[in-house]
Amino acid sequence: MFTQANETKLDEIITHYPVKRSAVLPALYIAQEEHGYVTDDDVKYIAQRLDMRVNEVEEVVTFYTMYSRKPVGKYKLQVCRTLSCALLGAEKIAEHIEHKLHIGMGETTADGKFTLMEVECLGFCDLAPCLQVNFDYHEKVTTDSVDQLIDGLK
Amino acid sequence: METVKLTINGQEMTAPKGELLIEACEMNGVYLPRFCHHRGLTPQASCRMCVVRVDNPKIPKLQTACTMPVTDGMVVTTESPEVEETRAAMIEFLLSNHPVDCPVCDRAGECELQDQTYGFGEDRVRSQFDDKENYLERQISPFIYNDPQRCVTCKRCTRVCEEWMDENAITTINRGSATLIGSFGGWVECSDCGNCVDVCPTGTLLHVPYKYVARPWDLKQTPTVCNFCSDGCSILAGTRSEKLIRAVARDGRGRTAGGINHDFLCALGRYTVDFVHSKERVDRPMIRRGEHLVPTTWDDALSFVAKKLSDIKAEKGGQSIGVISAARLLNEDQFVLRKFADEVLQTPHAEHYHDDDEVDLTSFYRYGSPTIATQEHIQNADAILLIGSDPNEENPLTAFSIRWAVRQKAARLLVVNSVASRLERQANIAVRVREGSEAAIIQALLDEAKLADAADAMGANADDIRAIRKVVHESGKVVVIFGDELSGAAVEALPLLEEVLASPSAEAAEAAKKAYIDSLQRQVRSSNSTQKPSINENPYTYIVEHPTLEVGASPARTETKFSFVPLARYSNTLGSGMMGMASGYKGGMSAQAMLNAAGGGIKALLIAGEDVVFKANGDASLVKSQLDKLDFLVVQEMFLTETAQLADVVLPVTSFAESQGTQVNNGSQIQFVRRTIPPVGQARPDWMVVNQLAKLMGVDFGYQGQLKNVFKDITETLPEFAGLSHNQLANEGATPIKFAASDLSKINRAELAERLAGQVAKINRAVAVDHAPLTAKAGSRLHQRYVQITRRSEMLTPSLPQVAEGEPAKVLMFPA
Amino acid sequence: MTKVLTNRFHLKGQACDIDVYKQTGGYQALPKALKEFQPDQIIEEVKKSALRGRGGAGFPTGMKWSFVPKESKRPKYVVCNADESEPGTGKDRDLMRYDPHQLIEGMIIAGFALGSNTSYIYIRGEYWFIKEILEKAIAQAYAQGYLGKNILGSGFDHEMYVHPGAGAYICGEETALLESLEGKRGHPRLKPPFPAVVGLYGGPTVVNNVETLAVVPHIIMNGGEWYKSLGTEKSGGTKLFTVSGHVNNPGNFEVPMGYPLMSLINNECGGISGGRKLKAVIPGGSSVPILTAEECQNITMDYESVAAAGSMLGSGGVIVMDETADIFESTMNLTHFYKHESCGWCTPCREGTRWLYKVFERMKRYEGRPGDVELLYDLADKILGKSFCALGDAAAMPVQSAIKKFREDFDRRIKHNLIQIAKAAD
Ligand SMILES: Cc1cc2nc3c(=O)[nH]c(=O)nc-3n(C[C@H](O)[C@H](O)[C@H](O)COP(=O)(O)O)c2cc1C
Ligand code: SF4
Ligand code: FES
Repeated sequence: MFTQANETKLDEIITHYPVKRSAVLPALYIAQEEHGYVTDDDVKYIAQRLDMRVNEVEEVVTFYTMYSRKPVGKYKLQVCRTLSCALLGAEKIAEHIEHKLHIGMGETTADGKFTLMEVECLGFCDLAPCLQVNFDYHEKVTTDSVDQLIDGLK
Repeated sequence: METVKLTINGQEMTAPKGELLIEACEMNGVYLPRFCHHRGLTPQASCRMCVVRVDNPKIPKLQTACTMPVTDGMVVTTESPEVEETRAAMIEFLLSNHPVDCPVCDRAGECELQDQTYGFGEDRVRSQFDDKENYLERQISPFIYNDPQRCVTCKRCTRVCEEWMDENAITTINRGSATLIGSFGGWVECSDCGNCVDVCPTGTLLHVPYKYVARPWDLKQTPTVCNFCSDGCSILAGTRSEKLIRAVARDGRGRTAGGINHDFLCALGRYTVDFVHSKERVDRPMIRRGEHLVPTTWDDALSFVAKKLSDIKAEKGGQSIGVISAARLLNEDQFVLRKFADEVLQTPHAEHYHDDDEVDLTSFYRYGSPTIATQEHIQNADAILLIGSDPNEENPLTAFSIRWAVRQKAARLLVVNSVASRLERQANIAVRVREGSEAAIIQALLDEAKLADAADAMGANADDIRAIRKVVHESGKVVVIFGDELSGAAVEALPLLEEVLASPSAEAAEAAKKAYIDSLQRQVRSSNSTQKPSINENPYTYIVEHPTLEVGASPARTETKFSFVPLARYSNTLGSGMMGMASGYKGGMSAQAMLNAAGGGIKALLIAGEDVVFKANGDASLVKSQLDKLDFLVVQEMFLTETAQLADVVLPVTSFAESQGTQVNNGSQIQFVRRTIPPVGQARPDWMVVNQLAKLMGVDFGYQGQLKNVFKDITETLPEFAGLSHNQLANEGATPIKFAASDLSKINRAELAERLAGQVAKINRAVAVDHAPLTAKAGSRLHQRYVQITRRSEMLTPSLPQVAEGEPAKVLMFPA
Repeated sequence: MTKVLTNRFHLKGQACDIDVYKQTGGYQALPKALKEFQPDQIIEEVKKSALRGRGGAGFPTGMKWSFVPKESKRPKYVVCNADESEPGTGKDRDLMRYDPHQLIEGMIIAGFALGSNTSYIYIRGEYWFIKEILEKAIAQAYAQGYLGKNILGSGFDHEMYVHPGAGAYICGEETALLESLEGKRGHPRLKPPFPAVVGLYGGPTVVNNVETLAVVPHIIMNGGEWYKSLGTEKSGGTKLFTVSGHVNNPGNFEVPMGYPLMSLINNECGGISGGRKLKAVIPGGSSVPILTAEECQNITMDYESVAAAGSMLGSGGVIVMDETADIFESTMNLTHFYKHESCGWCTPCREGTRWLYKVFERMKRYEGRPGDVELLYDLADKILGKSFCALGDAAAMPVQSAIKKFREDFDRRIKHNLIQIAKAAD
């Protein structure tokens, strides 16, 4: 179901825990890395792989915000909206991206490249405002630096 | 039972030690509001309704009574402005995200949210939002309707699904205020037990067949007993305008039907009751006129039958007439049928129909009765040995009790079975053996020297069998549950276990249990869910010893070490036999033998309630041709079954819902079945029909048409029933029958051992052990077994889309 | 000022390499602990240090460790809480990305002290790059015999793994964290039993914050008394503060316990940005009550002093707001956070935060109704102390304190009041 490399990786991760089930979060990351989001098949496969029931995987996926059960863009532009970032203009950054990409919050560009998301505190409060693109952090962003960043990704 | 003293609202009260405060309060007449708490489920403390102030020991925050075990000297306040405000606030919070659409909600009138809002809420509305979390209503299974907006997230349903049913078919998804009850893919595939709906305190989960059917205050709710499997669950039958509309274990207000099943019911007991109103019911007597059965009056029909039977008796002798009954008929029916055979027909041939593969009860009771375990005994056993059969499929309540014992009481479940069962997941040791080899486990248990060979006969690992033997030997109370797969000498030898495997001592048994719990606690707790769960998944059991289901009761224990549950097949298989409807009794033939002898020794048959043609596995035409050979066939039936279609006279009889009487379950408890609706059409109870026939044939049983006189006759004739009365049974619920205990001295051990060895020798060791995992949907075997009746239920139809007449129910797959 | 934890920060991550770490004094405490200490003595030393948990609650670490039963049927675990999701906090991030071995060394020593052979670092999923740094560092530690079987010939075994979370603030709560680590939804567990007795996989488990564990090697090297002497009587040692918001030079700063808040803002952070006036400070991460400018003047940063001022030291996330800040807006922002992060388990938190936010929403549009401010306060009151875990309290306290202290920012949002104001202006 996953690439051979990822299967091997998952096998290794499973050894970290006394119960297989503990590997569900890492396994979901792998699924997401491979398919962009967690597909129905992923849920079934992970359940089987980790001796869980499909519902037990489903309840976990839907609890954690870093997983998506629906397709998302190649780049997730995650603007932190919580207080420290908000105090330093996170809202403006978000609006700027909305205008630039012609999408609203939570939407994906037509070409499937970008999804704009609002997220809660990213832990970069002292480096606010902060934008995370997939797993990459960008600190103290300005409208200009966001422009550069997004153009670079295109 | 140890008790503690505590002070509740300034008054001193007592409660069983270790009991949860919320239950202790209730026992003392102080009801604490609750949503998430349910006495049969692990504590969760999420609704925060049951908060109380605890002053001794002094705790700064309000505490949830549903998680606090009572301690001696505890001082608790449940009524104070602080507590009341908090409760009211919780209600207000819940209502702030609730549609308050009571006028269109089926639960209105039996809704715990409604009740508690009245009881504990405030008469003001501060949350005026139009945008509640708006989720669409939807159907999520053939039987379950879901309106997520009404959910209070108490998770009783998901806990029931997991803890009672071991299914995990519904679960919680999303989080925060968006939390929903749902499932992967949105469609719930489960055994359709419907317990989640019953325990739901609001109108979030609804029974599809009952949706928009009635308002609860229009229902008359009568507790009665289910008529399908031998567990004998009580149901609360809801009727309106003389129609049986629904069966639940508990109404929305938490009132239960009492009985032995607490709040548990299975799909069959719950979703088939409407068969009693089936359009196919025979509503008046019918008499054959050439090709056709044509309606007639009772008088004509009865006098015709009486005359025919009298004539045949006069011509060919009474023994040319046979009587066959269905094992689901009540004791009173069976008793009168037997009496009719004895005193009127003067024939020895009267038996309730046995399926070919039914569990062998005759051998079991050969030397008197071994100790029988009730559901409560199962729930409190130290070890449970399951041999043959899959209770999960055939006796759902027994399966529930087994799971309960394992989960809540750290019972050790040992499974030796050629039948795949989901219960293996709960097992401490599970051994799948080759088909037809279960007898060998008895040999292995009774004779250690033969253990290795017996294991080989079963195709099992000798070490596993040895381990099972060890557990059985060292455990305190052991319940042996056995089904169809065990027969003959193996069954007969069961009472000997008491002698051979007696525990070394009570202390040793105690120590063994401790050691086992200890070993469980050494295991990694969060076992993977599809593997066998260990003692208990929830952390609370480490502090709260979970009370028994029967609140406050001390654990039920039998006097002997071993007790048994023969998984009798039908609701009254045991009672029927006790009423004398048994082959061999007075030298009579079995039902099957009577059919074989039709046209030969048997010239006429009276068949009450059994569709013998349907029952004939594969050779229906053979049975039909046999019946054709009869001079006279009279059938007492609810439906025009294939058998009834061949009859000379069909007499319409009542279903369990229209009749009153008693039956005996597999725990040897006698239970009272209450009438819930008046007879459909001109139907009459079976006993009454036979009683009238007797009269017409010149014998008056002296019952004066009164059911209670029949029961009186039973109590006077059969010593086991002495002293009982309908009234008493109706009030007290399931009552154990006192059998003469089995007399081991009567057993010829050498001869029995030889027969057992013979049984084991016959096992074909070339057969491969079937290790296939269980794939059938739970309960499908149950459906198949009663399909002659259940196919007439419209409620059940959605789950059985393509059941044609006589065809077994479709087997759905259980969710992986 | 003595620095304990941040001495390798200036290396900007070079200390992630084990050799650099060792050259700068690393991996000396571990051999010392293994050779010179009995496990109990380590716990004693930690007790002496007056180290209090840096995750938020400030529970004395030595005491927590001593709750772990000596004899246990199940394996014991050390779990490092690196979930760091408290708004305003970013200290664990730097502790891990600049000096991962310091944490690892601390955890191994904790494992030795508690008799645990396995530990996990539960790190928030967003910190994926730090997860990779940690994994590299752990691999190096294995390679050099600091982890694995028979560590440094002592006979003590210890395995260490990094486990990623996946976006849930509640998983910072220690029991929810354990549930999550077991592969379940992050719902908190009922306490008691406390994790120290029944924790991960049912075994006794110590959950400590990154900062707490990172201190341990230093206590071993220099003694508990020494560490304690760096801070105040009851709050030992130094503490990392993340200062964010309206300051010229935001960042992570290590100062001794008892350091004046205003010095932190004015010296370490170069004062309020744009030379504007201070309006309010949230001193310990978003969950604690807000302080007014006046209240900040004499406060020192230690558990007792902040508590005396009516707030809490919490996780040490200092959020500074100048006069341009609208406390209504900032409280609404945080309420959104808590509504979003409520796990949904218990009624008051699940429904209460949602309701609070609904009221905030209409007030933001200047459509507040008379009584709405009181309603907010009362709703918070009905959450406070009634929820299953402390998240409910965390959501309620900021609202109540903000209303108490910055009432005018709220009153402005009531429609009725606007009309009054307009009328008065006419
Ligand atoms: C809602 C909530 C969130 C928490 N988040 C964190 C967190 O992100 N990081 C952390 O170290 N502790 C967090 N805690 C505190 C932990 O529950 C726990 O007290 C701490 O990890 C113990 O470590 P310490 O003794 O070293 O402080 C949180 C507590 C609550 C109630
Ligand atoms: S307070 Fe309740 S709903 Fe909120 S996070 Fe804790 S348990 Fe979950
Ligand atoms: S009944 Fe106690 S919290 Fe729900």
